[in-house]
Amino acid sequence: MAMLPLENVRILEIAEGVAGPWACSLLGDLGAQVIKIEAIQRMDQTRGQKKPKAGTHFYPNGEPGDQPWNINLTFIRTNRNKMSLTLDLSREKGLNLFKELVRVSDALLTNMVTGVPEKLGIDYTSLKKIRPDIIMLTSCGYGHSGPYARNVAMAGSMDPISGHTWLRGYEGEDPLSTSYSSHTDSVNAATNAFALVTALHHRRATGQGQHIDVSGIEALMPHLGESILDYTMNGRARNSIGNRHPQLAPHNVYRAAGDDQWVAIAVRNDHEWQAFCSAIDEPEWTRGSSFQTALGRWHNREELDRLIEGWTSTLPSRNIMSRLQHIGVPASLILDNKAVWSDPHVRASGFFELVRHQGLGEMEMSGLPWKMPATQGAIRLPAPLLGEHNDLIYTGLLGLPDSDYRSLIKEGFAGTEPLDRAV
Amino acid sequence: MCVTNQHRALQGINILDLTQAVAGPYCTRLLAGYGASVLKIERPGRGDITRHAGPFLKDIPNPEAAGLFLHLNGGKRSITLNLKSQTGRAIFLRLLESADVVVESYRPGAMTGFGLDYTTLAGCKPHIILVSISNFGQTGPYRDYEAVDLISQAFGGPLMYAQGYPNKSPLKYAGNTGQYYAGLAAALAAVAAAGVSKWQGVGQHVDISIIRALMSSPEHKPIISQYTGEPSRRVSNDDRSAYLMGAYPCKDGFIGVQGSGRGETWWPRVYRMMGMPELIEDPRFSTPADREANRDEFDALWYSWLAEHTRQEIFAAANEARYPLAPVYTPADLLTDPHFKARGFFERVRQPAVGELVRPGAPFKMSATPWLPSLPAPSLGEHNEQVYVEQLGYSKRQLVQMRMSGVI
Repeated sequence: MAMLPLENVRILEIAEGVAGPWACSLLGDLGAQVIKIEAIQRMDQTRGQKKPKAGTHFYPNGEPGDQPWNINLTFIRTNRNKMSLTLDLSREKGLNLFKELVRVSDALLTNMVTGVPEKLGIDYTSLKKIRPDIIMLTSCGYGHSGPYARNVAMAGSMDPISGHTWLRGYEGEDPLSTSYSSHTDSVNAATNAFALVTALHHRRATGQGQHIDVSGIEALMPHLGESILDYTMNGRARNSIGNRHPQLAPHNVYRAAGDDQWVAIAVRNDHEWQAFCSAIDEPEWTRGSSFQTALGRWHNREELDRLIEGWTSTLPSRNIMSRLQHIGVPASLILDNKAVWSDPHVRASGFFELVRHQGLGEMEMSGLPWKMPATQGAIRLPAPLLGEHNDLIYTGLLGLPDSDYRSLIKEGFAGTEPLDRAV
Repeated sequence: MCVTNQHRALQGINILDLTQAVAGPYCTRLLAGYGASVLKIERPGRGDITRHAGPFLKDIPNPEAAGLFLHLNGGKRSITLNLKSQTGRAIFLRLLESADVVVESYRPGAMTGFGLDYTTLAGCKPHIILVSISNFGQTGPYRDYEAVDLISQAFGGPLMYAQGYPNKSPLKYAGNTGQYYAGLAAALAAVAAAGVSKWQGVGQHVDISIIRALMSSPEHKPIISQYTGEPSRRVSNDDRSAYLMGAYPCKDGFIGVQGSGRGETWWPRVYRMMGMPELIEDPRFSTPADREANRDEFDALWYSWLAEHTRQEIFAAANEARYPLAPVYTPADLLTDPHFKARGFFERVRQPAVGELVRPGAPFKMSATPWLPSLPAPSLGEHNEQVYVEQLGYSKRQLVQMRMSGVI
C-alpha cells in the first residue's frame, strides 16, 4: 500500500469558520498531520457558545450537553482529520510556543485578517527566518494587498462582490433577499487546499517555500468565466436567469407530486426532445408547431415550462428522473440533505463513512470528494475535542517536560474548557 | 511551453488532456496556470464542444472566439487526434510515453471502448495517473445517467433544495458553478496523485464524480438531518434567523450582507455603519427579543437608510464599522472595481481571433512560483506540427495523410 500523498507533512491551522478549517480537513484526508490551533480564550466560532440555549439544530437532538463546544454539528462536519491544540497567541509565551511549532512544521494556513499576522510578528517574512522553507497561506476575502485588503469579509459578503449573487436569482427578479451563499466557503476551502498541495509539490521538488495569497473573492470569479467574458468581449452584463439556460429549453425545475418535491429537466437537442415527448406519452401539445425546433422551444419556454409542469406535478420526482434518464434525457430530483442518506446511488458508491466521536458515539459522515484507490485515506479522526491533543503535542512533539506542561495548563495556555468570557 | 526561466510550481508534470466542456478543462486550466505542461487532445474537425457554445465575440459563432473555451483553455497546447481510429490510438500510446497524468471526461466506459482503459495505460506506462471526471462517477446505478450543470446541482448541490424562496422552486447557482467546483476538486486530487506517482512510483485511476465532489462539502449538511430527521429548507425573508442576510436594495443597486441574525457580535457594527450608534442602547433594539418585537421599526430605519445611500457609500461605511457587507456586483462592476485592478486580477492576453482578451486571472497568488498570466488559448490543432513532426518525427507528408484519413 502506498503512503498517503501528504503523509509526513505537518500543517498548522489558525483559522475558523469553514474556508480555512475545511481546507485543512481536505489536506488531512490526503494524509497530512494537521494541528488546529485555538485558545480557551477564543475558540473556532463554529464551536458555538459555551452555554448555548437548548433546542437548536446545531446540537444532536437539540441537546447541547455539558460540553457543547465539542459537539456543535457545524464544527463537527468541518473539522475531521485534524488534532486540536490550545495556545493563546495574544501573549508572548504563546507566540514563542507557536514559533517552536513552526520550526517543526511544513505549512501554516490562516484566515486571520490581513495585518494581524504582521502585528503578531508571525507574517511570512518573520516565519521564514524560523523555518526557511515554510509555506504560509493566508486566506482572506480580499487578499493580502489592494485597497480593501484589511476589510472584514464573510461568505455572505464575498458572494455579492464576486458577481455570484447578481447572477443567481429567479429570472426577471431582484437578487435573492435570502441568499444562501455557503458554496462560497466550499470554493474557498478547495482553493486553499489545491494551493497548498501545489506549493508542497513544488517544495518537495526544489526545497523552496513561499507565501500564498488567497482572496476568496478572486477564487470565486473564475467560476463565472463565461459571464465575465461575455462582458469583456461583448460589453454585455448578464442578468440572472434562474434555472433556465441562455440557449436551451426546456431547462428548468418543475414541481413534482408530494410536499415540496421538485425535478430538474434539461433537453439539449431535437433527439432528446423527441425522446422526452415519447416518455411523457406524446400529449397533443407536444405536436404543436411552436415546440418542434430548438429555437421555437426556447422562444416559447414560458408556455413550454407550464405544460411540462402539468405532467411532472402528477408524478413522484424519482419516477420522473428514472423514466427520463432511461431514455437518455438529463433529469434529476432535487436531492435534499435528508434524502441523500437513502439514495441508492450515493449508498452504492460508499460515500458515507462510519466515524466514532467521543461525545456523540457512532455517526455517519459525508466522505471524501474523490476516489483514489491506491491512496484513498479515510476519516481517520473525527473533529477534535477542544485541546484534545495538547499533551501529545506539547510533551510529545515539542518535548516539553511535564512540569512545563503543567504550567501551561495553570497559565491558561493548555486547556480543554473555554473560559466563560470566550466567544 | 516555458515562457520564462522562472520555476513554476507544477513544472515537470506532463498532462494529456482528453477533456471537454467545463469541469475537465477547468481542472487542466488550473494545472497549466501553475506550470504543468498540458497537451489538449481534441476531436478532429469540431474540437471541444465549448468552441461551439456562447458567448462568441460579437455573437458570431466562431470556434476560435468562443468565450467559455478561451477562458478554460489558456496556456494549453492543442492537437487533434481521433482516438477511435487504430492509428489514433497508437499515436496516443506514443504520447503516453512522456506523460505523467491523463485527464479525461468521456462518459464512463468510453475509454475502454477506445482500448485505453486504465489497465491498458498502466501496462504501457506503469506509474501513470488517470483522472476520470464524470457526472455520477465510474460505478454505481446512475453511472450512465446524463447531466448538465442544472442536473449536477439538483442532485449534488450546492444544496440547491435550500436555495431560493419557500413559495417558489429551488434555485441553482449561476452558470456552470457545479462543474467548476468539480474541476477544482479534480485538480487537487490530480496534483496529490501526481506526487505519489513521482515520489513513490505508484500510479492509479482517480475517479472524480461531479455530484460526489459537490455533496462532499460540509455545507451540504446531511449531518443535520441525521439528527433532526428534517432536510434543510428554503427560508423566507420573514424568518427571523435569516434576518439581515441576503441582498437588499439601496439607492443605486443592491448590497449583500451576512452576519447578524440572533448573534450579538454584529449588531453594534450594523448600528455604527448606519451612523446610528445610539441604537446600541436603544431599548427597542438592544437585545434579540427587543429587535424581534420591534422589527418593523428597525426595518423602516434600515430600508430608508439604504435608499438614501449608494452601494459604495454603504460599502465604505461597513468597512469603517468592520461589518461584512459588500455591494452586489454585476459582471460590469467586477471589471471597474479599484481593488481587483490594484491586485491585477484580470489579465490581458493577445488572443489571435479576438485581439486583446480580458479574462479572470489567478485564483490565488504564489510568491515564488506565480501563475502564468499571458498565455492565449490554442486554436484547434494549433500544435499538430510541433507535436507530430518535431516531437514524434512524422513527416509533413504523413501529416497530410493523417489529416485526410481523419486521424488528426
